Amino acid sequence: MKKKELPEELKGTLQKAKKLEWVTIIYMSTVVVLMYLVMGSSQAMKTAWLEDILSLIPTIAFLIAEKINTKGPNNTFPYGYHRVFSIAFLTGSLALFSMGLFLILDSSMSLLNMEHPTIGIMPLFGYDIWQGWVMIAVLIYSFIPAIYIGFKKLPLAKKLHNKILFTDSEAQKADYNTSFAAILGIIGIGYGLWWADAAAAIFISFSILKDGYDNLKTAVLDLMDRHPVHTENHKKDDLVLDIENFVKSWDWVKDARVRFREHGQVYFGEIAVVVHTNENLAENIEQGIKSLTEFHWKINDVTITPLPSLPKDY
Amino acid sequence: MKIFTDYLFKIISTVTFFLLLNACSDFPKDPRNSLENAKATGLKVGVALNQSFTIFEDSVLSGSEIDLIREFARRNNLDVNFTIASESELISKLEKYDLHIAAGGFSKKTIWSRKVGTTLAYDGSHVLLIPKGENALVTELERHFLKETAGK
Repeated sequence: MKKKELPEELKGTLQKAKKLEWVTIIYMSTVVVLMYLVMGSSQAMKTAWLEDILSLIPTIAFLIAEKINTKGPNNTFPYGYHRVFSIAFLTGSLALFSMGLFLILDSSMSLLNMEHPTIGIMPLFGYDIWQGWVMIAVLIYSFIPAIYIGFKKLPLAKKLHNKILFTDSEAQKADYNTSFAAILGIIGIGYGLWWADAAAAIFISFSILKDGYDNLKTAVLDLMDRHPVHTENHKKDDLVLDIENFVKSWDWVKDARVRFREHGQVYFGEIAVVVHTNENLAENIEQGIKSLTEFHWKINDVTITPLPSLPKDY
Repeated sequence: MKIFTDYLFKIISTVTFFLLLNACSDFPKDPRNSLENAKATGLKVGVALNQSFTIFEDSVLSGSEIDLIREFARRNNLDVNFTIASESELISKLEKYDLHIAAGGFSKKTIWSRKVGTTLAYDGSHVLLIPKGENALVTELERHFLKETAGK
């Protein structure tokens, strides 16, 4: 089946992104195992651990969705499978959001109950080391490579106009915030400040909730067919305006109005035109659609409707 | 990539700063000063009688955990005061920081671990109980266990 989504020059970018996502999965799995082994009774560690597990959701969602979305349209799904990205994004963000809420409650309870985390010695390679140091070492391991991978993925996400990948790389890049909070929590415990642990956990929970909320908002707005936006700053994509001007520049078109929506990485839309003459109209429209799909790779599916006057509501 | 290295530099320098800060102090500390108090007033040990771990015969306390604690006290120049009580009494005293250690052949999966702190299993399966979060005390105790097992 013909793969209808990315142009040739972006296929390499997608391959690179996939490779980095696999690296992320392998690396994060080692982080999750190590964190579990050393977390002891620290609430901050538990929260950071859960955050790391959750951070795998967008990565896995990307890899799965990427397999499905390139399938062409068929009888059952005549618009193709582009929206699988939006659905994966919605479910991932919902998981993040609800886990954030749960963890805020859980961590606040641990603060209210005045939980004093007990952290003793961990025998390691023949040394008796305070387990707090081991936790800090694992936390450092959990964020330095993550930042690097995040930085590597970010430009790919922008090029591919892929929100899951973008969220994933942003979250990884910002992972040092939570690891850092957890490190401070553990150093606090070491200083005899038992509340530092729960306070760090609450901070981490809020950052999970914030990520969840932001992503949930984006996912819902996309599924509500809002005007397409840039992945990085949520500003309206000028491409839509460019399309309108491009269509207006055709000599058989007197006036035009366009509307587009995002279907995962690509755009679907309608163009209403008022024409100078009805002569060769069908051929002109056919040619118009062809030149539009060549205009930009994001324009995936478009219809052109000739009307006596332009619709006022879009 | 420059942004990344800048980022990394900031993080590493801050972490190193904190680590250096810690290297020169007693670490970890007890939030409720159990170890310090034990040095001043003697180690307050609560005992629940349990088979070979804690035995009370002819007004004399003995047993493997009693020996372990006595040896710990000797090495750290601490006086020891033993009191015998039921498990639940020991737990409530630990929760109020009225005891430093509770001994009674507690398993490492003890149901009390939500309410009190546990040491690592000195023989692979049994632990001593301590007030929750008293990390200087638990660290000293565990160092002692590990020395003892290394000696055997």
